Amino acid sequence: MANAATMKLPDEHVVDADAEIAWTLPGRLYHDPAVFEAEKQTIFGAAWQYGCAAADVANPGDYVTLDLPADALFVVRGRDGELRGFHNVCQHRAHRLLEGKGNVKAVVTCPYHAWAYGLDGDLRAARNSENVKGFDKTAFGLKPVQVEAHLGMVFVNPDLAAPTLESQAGDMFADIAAQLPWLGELAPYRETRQDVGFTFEDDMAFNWKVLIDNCLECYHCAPAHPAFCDLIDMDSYRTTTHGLWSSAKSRLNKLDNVAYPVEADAEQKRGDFWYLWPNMTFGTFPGQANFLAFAVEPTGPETTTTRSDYFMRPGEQVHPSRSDYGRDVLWPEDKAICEAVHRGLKSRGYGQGRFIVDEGRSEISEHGVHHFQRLYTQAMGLA
Amino acid sequence: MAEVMRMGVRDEHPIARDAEQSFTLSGRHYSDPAVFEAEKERIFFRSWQYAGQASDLENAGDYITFRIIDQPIAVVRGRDGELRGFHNVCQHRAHELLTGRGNLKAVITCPYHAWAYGLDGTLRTARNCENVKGFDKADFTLSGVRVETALGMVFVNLDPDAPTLEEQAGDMFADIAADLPWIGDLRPYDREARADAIADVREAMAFNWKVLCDNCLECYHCEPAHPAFCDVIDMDSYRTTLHGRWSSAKSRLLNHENAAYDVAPDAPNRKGNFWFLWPNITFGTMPGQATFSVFVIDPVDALTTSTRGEYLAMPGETLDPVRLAYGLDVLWSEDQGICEAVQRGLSSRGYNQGRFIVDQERSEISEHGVHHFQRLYAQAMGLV
Repeated sequence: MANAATMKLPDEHVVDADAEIAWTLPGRLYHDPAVFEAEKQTIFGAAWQYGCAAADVANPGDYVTLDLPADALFVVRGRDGELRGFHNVCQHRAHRLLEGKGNVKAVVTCPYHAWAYGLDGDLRAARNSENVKGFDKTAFGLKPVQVEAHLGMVFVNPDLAAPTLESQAGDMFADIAAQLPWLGELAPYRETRQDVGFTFEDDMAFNWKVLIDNCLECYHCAPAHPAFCDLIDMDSYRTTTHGLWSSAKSRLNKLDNVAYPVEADAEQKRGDFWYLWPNMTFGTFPGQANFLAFAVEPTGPETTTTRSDYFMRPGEQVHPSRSDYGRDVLWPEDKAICEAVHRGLKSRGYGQGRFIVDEGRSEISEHGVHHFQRLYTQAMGLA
Repeated sequence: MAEVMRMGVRDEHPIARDAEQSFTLSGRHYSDPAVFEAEKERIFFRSWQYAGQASDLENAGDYITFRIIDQPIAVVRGRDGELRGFHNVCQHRAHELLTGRGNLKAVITCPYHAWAYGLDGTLRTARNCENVKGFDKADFTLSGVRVETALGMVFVNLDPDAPTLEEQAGDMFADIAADLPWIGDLRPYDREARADAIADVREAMAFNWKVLCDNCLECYHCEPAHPAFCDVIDMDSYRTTLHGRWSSAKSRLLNHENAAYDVAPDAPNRKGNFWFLWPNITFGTMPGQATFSVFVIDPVDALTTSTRGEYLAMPGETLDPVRLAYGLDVLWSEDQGICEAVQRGLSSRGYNQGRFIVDQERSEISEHGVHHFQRLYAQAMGLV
């Protein structure tokens, strides 16, 4: 049968280890359903992922449910003060245990047959089980997952054998703490999402990696985010890559800029951003002391939802001009880009792209994207 | 146990060569996602697809964009006067390049990182590329597609080895020009003023694309389903003739005053003539003012179809709103309702294959046009 493509595409290049000569991930990895299934197993089933703000599980009995790409989990603060995580499924006959977030006084009770689990995951009560031959409660404890807390945030990993997050990214958390000395004084911002300005939606029409790719370079900032380039001193923007994380750091350009005004005595005069494998970004913008954590989560091979927590000084309101900029300018600019890139990735006229990486790793160099795609290539066994 | 009416599980009959003896395509071809995937390769990515109007591409820098299913395409008039088609995607990291239609002063600039391509598709500038090892602009030329024009319309084919448009369409365009000698004078009708016109885009309707093609290719349904149509069109005159990959259905005006819309005594056009070009393009004119519509049936997925097209009229002429409303609100609504109902029925376990009602004389109600289309389909899909 004749080749329907009009272009003889090169044989697929693997994402080379050398950023300066590497081609990007082939388009098909952004929409093939089989690839998505493999990602769920290989990546999301075995990696550290964003949970919630630690303040949401501060008190004994507090819990938060997490519907992650591969697993439905919950984290819960035990009566002993320990934070634990479990698969959100009853061991009797698989009913989901908890919804949303809240507080359970002493036990987690399944809505189906009222099996009751302690906050340590042990099965405490299962009605009529005393009359069941050979029934041993200890065989029906909730299946645990790894949980760690860093810098006021909770992270989970369904893979009990995975290395700790501390060992994988301890230096990233130290870097964030060093850049944001007041971070420990911030609390989750409880106002409406509209106030924060990053109003992501569910099931957006692009693959999760499209948004990650986009976040990891500022080559697009001049053409696509003109106000951002007035807010941020682009000459100062530098991306550095580390094992499983990278950072992009920059300085405020000027107080009176076309994005939003920054007070002369504002606590934050930098724009610093971090990425953590596989799908988390963290960041702070110039202006009031602020910190954003967001997770980019696939809901299908071609759809993505994001979850985020925003942190401010307790009681402080986000300045409207700041949230207007994020909600009405920066995010719509990026969302439109991601939708257009996703459509282009399905084109027969596109096979693989090319990282624009310069020797000096300038502000417009795409080595941050290469770093992510190289991690992906290795995780998926493509290299 | 109660007796249940049971349909025997029959082996599928192929679409027979002889229209008079043929069964229709089985229901699964109208709903199976695997069939849809195969149709993309075997049909839509290797056939001539309607792109737009040549009048939108007269000047150097003019461009139009459209999609063949999920493939974004752009057609551009170069500074050298050549018309070129491209996959509408940047070779850097896949952002779509152009949207809608318009005019480019000199280059195609990607909105993402401002890579700039000449109108011939070659990469002209890519900021910072001079600092990238081994970067050769020649590796990043836009991926070209074939473009041809006929009767003021632009067509694109994604298959570099496909036969020419002339080979696909034979003498269809000559036939249209012969029937409608004024066609070269027509232009798109007042796009800004019209909110919905007969050939405007309709998105995501709940039926497979072939259901609408099947429906367009016979007037056996006209009397029961389109009573007003049968008052403006003389059904006795309606004749469908078949050609290689196209067919036509031609008829005459019946009543000047009729239940659809009135036709002026001195109206320039007394024909109701329709043409179908494989795989999914229809053209037509109804009695009355000199107009021509292009109506494209775009598959979205196995269960969903969109339409797009163009409505052409004499420049400066105001079209009769009653005539427009008839096509949009009456005729189209009747057909859309039919297609939705047929789609539901095609998934029924009480239906497998149907039967073409084709009479020897190929009368006005004979379904040989549908058979012709389904036979082309069966050949393209390797079913026969």
